[in-house]
Amino acid sequence: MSKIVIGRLLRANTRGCVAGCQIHQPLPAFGSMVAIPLSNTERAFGLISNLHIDDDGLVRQLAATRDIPEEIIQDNRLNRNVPVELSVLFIGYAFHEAISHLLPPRPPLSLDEMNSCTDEEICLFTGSGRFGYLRHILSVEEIPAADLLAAHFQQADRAQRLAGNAGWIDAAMQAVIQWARDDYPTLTTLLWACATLYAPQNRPEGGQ
Amino acid sequence: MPINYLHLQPQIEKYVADAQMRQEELRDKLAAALDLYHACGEDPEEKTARIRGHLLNQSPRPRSGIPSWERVDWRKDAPAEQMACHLLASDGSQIVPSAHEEISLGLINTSRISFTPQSGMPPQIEIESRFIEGEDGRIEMGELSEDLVSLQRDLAEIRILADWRPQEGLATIALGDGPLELFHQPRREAAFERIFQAYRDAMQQTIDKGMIPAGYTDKPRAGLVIKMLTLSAESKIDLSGLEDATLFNTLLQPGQRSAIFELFSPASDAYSGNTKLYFFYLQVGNESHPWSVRVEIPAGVAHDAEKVDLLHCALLDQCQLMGNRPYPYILHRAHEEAVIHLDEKQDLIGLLTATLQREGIPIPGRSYKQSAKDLKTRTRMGR
Amino acid sequence: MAIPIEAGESKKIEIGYVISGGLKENLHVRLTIPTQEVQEGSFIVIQSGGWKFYGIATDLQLGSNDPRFAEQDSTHFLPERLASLMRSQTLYSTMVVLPTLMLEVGPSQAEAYSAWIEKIGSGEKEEPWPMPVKTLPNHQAPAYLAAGEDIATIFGKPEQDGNFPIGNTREQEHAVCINLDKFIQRSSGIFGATGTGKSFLTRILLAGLIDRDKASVLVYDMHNEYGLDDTASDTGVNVIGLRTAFGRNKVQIVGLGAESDIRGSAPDFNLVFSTSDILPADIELLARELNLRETTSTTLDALVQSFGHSNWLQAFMDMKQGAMIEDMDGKKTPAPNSVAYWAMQSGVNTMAAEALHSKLQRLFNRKYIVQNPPSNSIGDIIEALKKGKHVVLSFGKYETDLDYLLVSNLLTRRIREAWEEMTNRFRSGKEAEPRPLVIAVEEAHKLLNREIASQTTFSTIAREMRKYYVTLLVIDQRPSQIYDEVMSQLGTRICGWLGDEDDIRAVLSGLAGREALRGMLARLQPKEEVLLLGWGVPMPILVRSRRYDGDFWKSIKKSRRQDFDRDAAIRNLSPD
Repeated sequence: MSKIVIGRLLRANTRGCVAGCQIHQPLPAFGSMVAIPLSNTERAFGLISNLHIDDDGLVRQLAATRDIPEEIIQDNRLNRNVPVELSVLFIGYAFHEAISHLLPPRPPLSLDEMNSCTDEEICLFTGSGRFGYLRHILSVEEIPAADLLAAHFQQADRAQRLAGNAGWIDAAMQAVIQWARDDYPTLTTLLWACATLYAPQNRPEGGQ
Repeated sequence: MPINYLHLQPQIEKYVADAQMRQEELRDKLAAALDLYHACGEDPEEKTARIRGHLLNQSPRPRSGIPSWERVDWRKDAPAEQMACHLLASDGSQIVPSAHEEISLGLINTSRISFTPQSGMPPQIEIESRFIEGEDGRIEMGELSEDLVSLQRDLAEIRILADWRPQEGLATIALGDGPLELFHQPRREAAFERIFQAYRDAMQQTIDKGMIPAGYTDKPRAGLVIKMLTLSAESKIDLSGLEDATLFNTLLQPGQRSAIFELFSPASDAYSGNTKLYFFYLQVGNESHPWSVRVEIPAGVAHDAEKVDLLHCALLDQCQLMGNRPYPYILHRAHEEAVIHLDEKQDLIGLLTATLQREGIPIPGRSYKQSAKDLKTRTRMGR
Repeated sequence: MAIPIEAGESKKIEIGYVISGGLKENLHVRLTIPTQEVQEGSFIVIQSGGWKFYGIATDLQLGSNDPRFAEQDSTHFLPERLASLMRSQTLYSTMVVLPTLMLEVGPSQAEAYSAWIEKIGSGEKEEPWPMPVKTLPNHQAPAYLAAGEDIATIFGKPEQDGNFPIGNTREQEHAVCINLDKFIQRSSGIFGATGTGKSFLTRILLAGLIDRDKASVLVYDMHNEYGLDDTASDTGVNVIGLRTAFGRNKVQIVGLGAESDIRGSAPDFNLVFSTSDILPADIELLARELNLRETTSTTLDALVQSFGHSNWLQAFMDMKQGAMIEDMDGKKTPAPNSVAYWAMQSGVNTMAAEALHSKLQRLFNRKYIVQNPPSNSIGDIIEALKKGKHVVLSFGKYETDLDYLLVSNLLTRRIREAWEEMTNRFRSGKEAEPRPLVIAVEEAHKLLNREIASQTTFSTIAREMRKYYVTLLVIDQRPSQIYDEVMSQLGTRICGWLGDEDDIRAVLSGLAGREALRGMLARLQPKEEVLLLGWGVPMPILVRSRRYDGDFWKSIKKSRRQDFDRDAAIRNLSPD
């Protein structure tokens, strides 16, 4: 299914992993779903939860100068040994085609390929079960969960609508509200972040 | 606490006092040097003859500059127009074999970076990594002197430049970090001689390919021009301790270069024809922070005013990229690509060790001395 | 929207689930439908563990997971759709249900259910019946709006003998019946503030009693409303009287006084009392109306002693007040036919006797009290009632409290005596079982207030007469004025809107779940909504009462036909 390799694994633990990729390939968007094969039969699913682009002395020095030529910019982006690091938050896994919203049974290994998920994979994963995977996103502490959730919903909603499931987003939002309804500040933050999903320009079919 | 600061405290005060005294002396010497500098310009032929005479009579041969066809006190502004060229730079790093390591390993790592300014294209980078080989063509596993390894590295640096195939119709500047002159004192050993010959061949090759080889010395400590001025004086004068950079920081406006000087040294005779070495100073700093650097070029370049202008312009352009710490960007990048970090060295040793072990070849192991040195420093609980 | 769930033979509408509660503190049901789809008083069924729990919604409460969700208008910062999703999860309504009955309905698993049914069939297990709540449903047991079959299970089916549809449930308009057999076993009451439709409800109930022929009915029609056709005071529409509807053979109108007429129509016969019918106790009952003194009873005792039980009133009436004669010496002394003379002769305080005589003038002037009535009209009434006829006693022009108190008490006493005698004879096997009698008393607080209740026959009937087949149907707007002891005896209470807290408390006296029901009573619709309460109904329930109109009478007539059309009767219950 997913064959667009966007990076290779640098390090991992049970809850997530970090993959490295070069800037010369299109960077996956924050919140987009990725899959990492764990074996011939298993693959872990995750969300891009952070993109790190480290600086160094040279970059800092260059940044302070005026009119940096394009070739220098390209050199720093493409040649210099500062890969983009993609942090991935695991949200579940698949055993053959059976989806589980539990954490993967084991983390992937160094230099494993990380692929971006196809719309079919996104629909399969997000449409399976009862949104149990959302708890991985909502309980994350180091990153802005609301923005991650909104970014994920944007991608998943688009895929689901293409598959004819216009009601998916409402069901997903219900699950989020149910999860956070006893925590007013958290819930309002989450909903604020997701509000743009309901803007008319993001609902081209005019549905709710 | 390995340093006894109680002992040092009075010495620091003395250090400051001595430095002040030295500054005052240098100020006086600088004034004298400036007088001589301008005097050289007024009567160049006579002065040049005097200098040459003094130099040839001295033994051992000192290191000095000699006035060239350009007036000594001549200074050239940066060319008004930026000229199209292609830039090459190389740098190298090495692993010197050590008896204290698990395995003895000699390695030269050389980088070459090339790009065309204003092309918008990212630079191309080449890395060459080679174990050092002995006379018999086998990989060297015994001990090697640091000098020899450095020489090998210098050779690799110029070779990787010489290997470049220049684009037609576009001048190629080939920059190296440090002097073009390989070493200051001639060596007698056959190994050195062979490497030295190969070095000259490679330099010749760059010139033959129409490239503009140049050695860039960022913080020159030498007093080649000062020596020359001393020799130009009619009476004996002591300008010791004064550096060329100090003189040219006073003389050169931002972007200006000095006149080209011939390089006279114990080894300079070894460079002949169009590999004969010349140098000039270049002001890459600004008015408030002058920073003069020395650029060494072979005769093949020095005699071509257009090439010198091209080099002058390209170096200023490259230094400008680095903001308030002017240094050619391309050289920095060549260094960055070539340098072997300690963890990479350890990884390489690990890879070799594992490969040897798989083949059943015994590993000598690290010396206890090295192991003791590598003991970790104190750690804090929880860190 | 409420979700209909196919279950059994009819559709149940799930409205929420149980979240907490207790037998003492009622059940709390989290609503899953818009709050407006349920109202206070709704009949609720909760199914849990093979049992159905029946109750009524006594309160609705708005809740939120955090007060801020309720306080802030989320549409200000969220798109409407998202705000709506949030509200649906964070704002909620809780319904308080007063559980009253529970009924075992058997296990849900088909196999176990069959086994359960078999046990009942074989007599191994007692047939389940709605019993007072003794346990609780489980957490998250689903709650439903009662379906028609639930109402029928608890309140009976309209087509069953003895069941009379009094109205229908508000939300789904299922018919709610009163079991008339049970209704007449104890005294009952219809309460409600003025204008809440008590009279119409009474007409409906009386029509039901007459139609189903479960008891004879005697109506003390103080304001001449029930017998003949009337015009509704608020709508101006003609209101059919009971006599008009059922005819003279079933309903007889009795006018008070020899020449009485009811709004120009002649009654079937007249009620005239003989002076001998009136006892001193009847006079004492009028103490407040006549402003009698404390010496009255002494004077009355002396009168009875002087003239006997039958003649004392006539003799007293015949006395002249202030009549004097002159003796030989020209000295004036009381005349022998004077009150003073009798007083002196009987050792009674002359002034007290004269005062009583003076105050009883109002009574002496009543034309329905004569020395020798032309017929035994009391006997005729009793006889008619015994025969299964129904009597509406219209007070005609005698609309004062004095008349009402005197006549109703006097007649009721006589009826009571008759029914006691019949009952005793029945119990001794000498006579057939007496026909039950329901006495409808309007403005009941006048007869049953604390001051005089103990002196009237009504309180006795309320307390004891069910043993003697006589019960009261008390109709009043001020139940708080009715003696507590009488109120507590009322089996069935049908209550419309009441504004006064004391009245509400009085209606609920002696009932379980008073606190929960109190609010409901205070918030009933001013018209047509009534709460059925008390012993006579299986559980309290709020009903929209039937309309007393042409449709009502059509259904009554239909029900009298052999081919009773049950469905049509139910349809006719609908207000529209």
